Amino acid sequence: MTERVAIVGVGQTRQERNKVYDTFADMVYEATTLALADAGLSIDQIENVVSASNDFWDGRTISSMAINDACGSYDKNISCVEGDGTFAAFYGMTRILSGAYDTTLVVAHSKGSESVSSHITNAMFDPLYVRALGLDAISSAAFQARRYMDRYGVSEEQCALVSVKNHGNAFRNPYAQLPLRLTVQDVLQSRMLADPIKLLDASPISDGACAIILARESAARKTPKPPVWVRGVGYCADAYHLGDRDLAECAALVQAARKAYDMAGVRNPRKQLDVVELYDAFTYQELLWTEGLGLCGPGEGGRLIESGATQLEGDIPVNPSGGLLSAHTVIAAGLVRIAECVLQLRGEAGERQVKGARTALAHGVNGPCGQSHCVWVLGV
Amino acid sequence: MPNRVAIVGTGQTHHCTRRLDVNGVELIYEAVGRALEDAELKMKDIDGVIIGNMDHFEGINYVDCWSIDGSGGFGKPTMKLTTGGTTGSTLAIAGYHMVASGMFDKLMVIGWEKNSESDTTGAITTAFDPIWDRLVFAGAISGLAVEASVYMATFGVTERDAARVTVRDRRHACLNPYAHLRKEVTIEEVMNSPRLSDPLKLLDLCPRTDGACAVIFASEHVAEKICPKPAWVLGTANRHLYTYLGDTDFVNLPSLRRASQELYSKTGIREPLKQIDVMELYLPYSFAGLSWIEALGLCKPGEAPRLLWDGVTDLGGELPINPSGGVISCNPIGATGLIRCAEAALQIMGKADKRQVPDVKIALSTGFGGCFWSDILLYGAKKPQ
Amino acid sequence: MPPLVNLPKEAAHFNLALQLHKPEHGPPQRPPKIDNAQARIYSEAHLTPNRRDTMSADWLSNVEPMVYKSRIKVPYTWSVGETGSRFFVELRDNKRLFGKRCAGCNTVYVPPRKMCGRCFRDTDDWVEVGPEGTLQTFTVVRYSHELQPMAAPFAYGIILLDRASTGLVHLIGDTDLAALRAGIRLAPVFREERSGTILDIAYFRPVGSR
Repeated sequence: MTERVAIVGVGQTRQERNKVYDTFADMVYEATTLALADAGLSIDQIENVVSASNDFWDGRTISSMAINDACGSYDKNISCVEGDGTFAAFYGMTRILSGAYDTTLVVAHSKGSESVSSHITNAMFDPLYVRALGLDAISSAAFQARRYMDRYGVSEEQCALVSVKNHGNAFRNPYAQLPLRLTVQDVLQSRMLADPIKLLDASPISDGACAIILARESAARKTPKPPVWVRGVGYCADAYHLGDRDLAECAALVQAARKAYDMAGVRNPRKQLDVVELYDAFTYQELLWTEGLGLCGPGEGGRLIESGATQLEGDIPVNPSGGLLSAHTVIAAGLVRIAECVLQLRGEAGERQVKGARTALAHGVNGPCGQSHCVWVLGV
Repeated sequence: MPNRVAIVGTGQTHHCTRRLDVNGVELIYEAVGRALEDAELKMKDIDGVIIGNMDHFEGINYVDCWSIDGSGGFGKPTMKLTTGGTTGSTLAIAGYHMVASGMFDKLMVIGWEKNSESDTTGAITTAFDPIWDRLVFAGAISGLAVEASVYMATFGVTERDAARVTVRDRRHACLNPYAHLRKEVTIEEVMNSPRLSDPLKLLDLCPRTDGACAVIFASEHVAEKICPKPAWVLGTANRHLYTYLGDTDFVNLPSLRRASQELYSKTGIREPLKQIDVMELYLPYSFAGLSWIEALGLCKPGEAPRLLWDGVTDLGGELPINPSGGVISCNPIGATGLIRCAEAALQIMGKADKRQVPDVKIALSTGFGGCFWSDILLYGAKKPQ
Repeated sequence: MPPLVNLPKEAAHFNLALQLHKPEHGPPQRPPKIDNAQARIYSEAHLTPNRRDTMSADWLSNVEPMVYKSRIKVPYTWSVGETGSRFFVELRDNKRLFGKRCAGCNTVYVPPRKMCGRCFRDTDDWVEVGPEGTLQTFTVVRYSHELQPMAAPFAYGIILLDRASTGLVHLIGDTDLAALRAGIRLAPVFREERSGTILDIAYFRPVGSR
């Protein structure tokens, strides 16, 4: 990177099943004001804004229009990424590195409660060959889960451990929607949605918004809290048609992680990372992505979680926030992972704090079955 | 130090009413292939892709994922941006920042739209707030009609004055092989065309078009090796001011006024009419060609008709506007703002063929959309300091 | 021992489709307040309590949260393109399946593509594929929503047709759902009346191995 960029403020709303009292703008305003307070900045000190939203999820074309006022972008330079917040944050970062602005506010929102998710996710599939079959996010994920489990012998019990861990971690996170005390049996006995994915293997419908403030080094040094530095970032897309790739592999994640690791000087992620917040839309995904991130070898994700290493007290805690399984605001979820990492690195993560965390990884996904991944390495 | 950024190649499809022979991915592939050809590069030379369109015109969610075969994004960093009508210019601005940041050396920027596939008004109506605006307001035309009415009432500008804009853009389009509508129209034909929403008539407005445009942005380390006369991006600015239609100030497009003021002050433009050699403006309808050039500071408010009738903005005039034929001749919405960028770049690169303005040193392009939002970029033939 | 999870309540957090658009029962729950001790810890540490907890709540408690139910209607007509059109015409008229091969990487794409996304070049020749194929992965869907062409439970599969390099997503029917396994052989069942869409194949069904 040409110069250092830091995250100086984060804000998130509580993630809830149905924020019936809040419009998109209300949520964005809340997250934005929290992030500003956190950074000790006023809205006038924010030089540009990148929002993240999705026209389908919001039921309006030009979805960014709904929240322009609410993110303080009036009379500022502004843009909008349609994709997970981690990607929007990348663009927000380049607008600082380009020399144009000292600070960028990045804000993402989504209300799953307002739409019918099967229709929305069905629309991401090819209209000519797949959509008429009625495929959606859950049934397509089930393809990947089955293929992954067949190839490596990963079991439903190992996947269930992810649900037990993450829903349990959510008790320590006041923002998380769904803290649950579960056993593996609870998960295995929960209602089957699409083999092998059961209710408690899947993430919930959520409403929420999240905002982060990026700043170049000279501006970051002026904010009250210690800056959290962006050490490395990378993103990459795989093939689109589900039959084009072996769904048990995640080449795009491997490549995105490699870019981020190279920039950050991470050669041994298992040892050098202190905490990981990854995109666990389904239980099997946490296992598969730990492999793609190099925290263990291919096919070893199940053994990794069985070892206890990814528990809060383990040597590589994964999703101490509760992850997406505990709250899944589409579009915002990746940005929430970044925000959680920032809290960890500042020592502000309360009861979910990983002691002595100095290097963290945040991960976001776009597209069906993890087609496109964005990886951030942050450090203090 | 941030990198200086230049456009080193462009590609467009031949824009038309309906492309039945290709689906959206294939349309994108065409434009991208032409941009690579123009820059004499291969897809493996490209470091990343950004793409945009207005979702509800094609009914595809996560277009960046769906289009991967045609965009060249396979195995590369790929991202989607969308801001409605300003999508194309939003993409151009992003192309600049992404490369200036040092994170990419060569970036493929793609805008596209297959308007023939959907109900444009039905889709645009969903842009507006469902509780307050959507039920009482339909589509894009009404908002523009209100703006035109306010402009006429404030300054005494006439419908004939506006028609002169259409006549200019449609005449220019005849020189542009890529433009959608390539037939001249007369003032009388504009005045006699069907009235849609007073004072706007059919020929005051832009068409719906299928088309794609791809532009390659490159960093200073490689730009001059790729292209003998790249178009350097000198600055960008934008204002997306309004969320609700009722908040809009309908006089002289404040978003464009403020964005251009910022751009001019950053790039040392004090007298745009003298210092800028050509402009590619996102004018979705005729009156915009009057009121919005006042917002750009080409003349005082209310005086734009004089510039039009004097031929100042025609090819051959002091400051030609829309030698490509502009939006009134061609409007694949997600691409339109990027086509303005590509056409401005072609002017600097000297590749604009029959629509070339001689000796272009400084060019400007704008984008318009959403709730009266504006984007603006400035380009130069000389590498900036 | 009864399960600790009260499923109907928890299920509400999950896919709305499972509920088939049932409206909320009773007034929506306002989020619980964070108590004072927690509020102090979080505001010191970083977090501020949900702003609604700290707003003067008198007027808010009288607000009826209104919800406006609607649909957006944006009709579409997707152009298939020449390549896809050939695939669907052959399917409709001749009950034959075709892929398109990229000579650069020797991939036979099904569905056929005009271009190879990996090599970024035009694809070359048409290759007849299938009709039979091998199941790569599958799932049995046990929930319903209005976009599904079959009633749940039913199965989807990704099928690698013979001579193809990439898999085709489709339905699996006329089968013992419990017996589905990756690796089994399937054949397409064509509809009598075909119109040139992917559902001209009603579904794939298992066949005996060669």
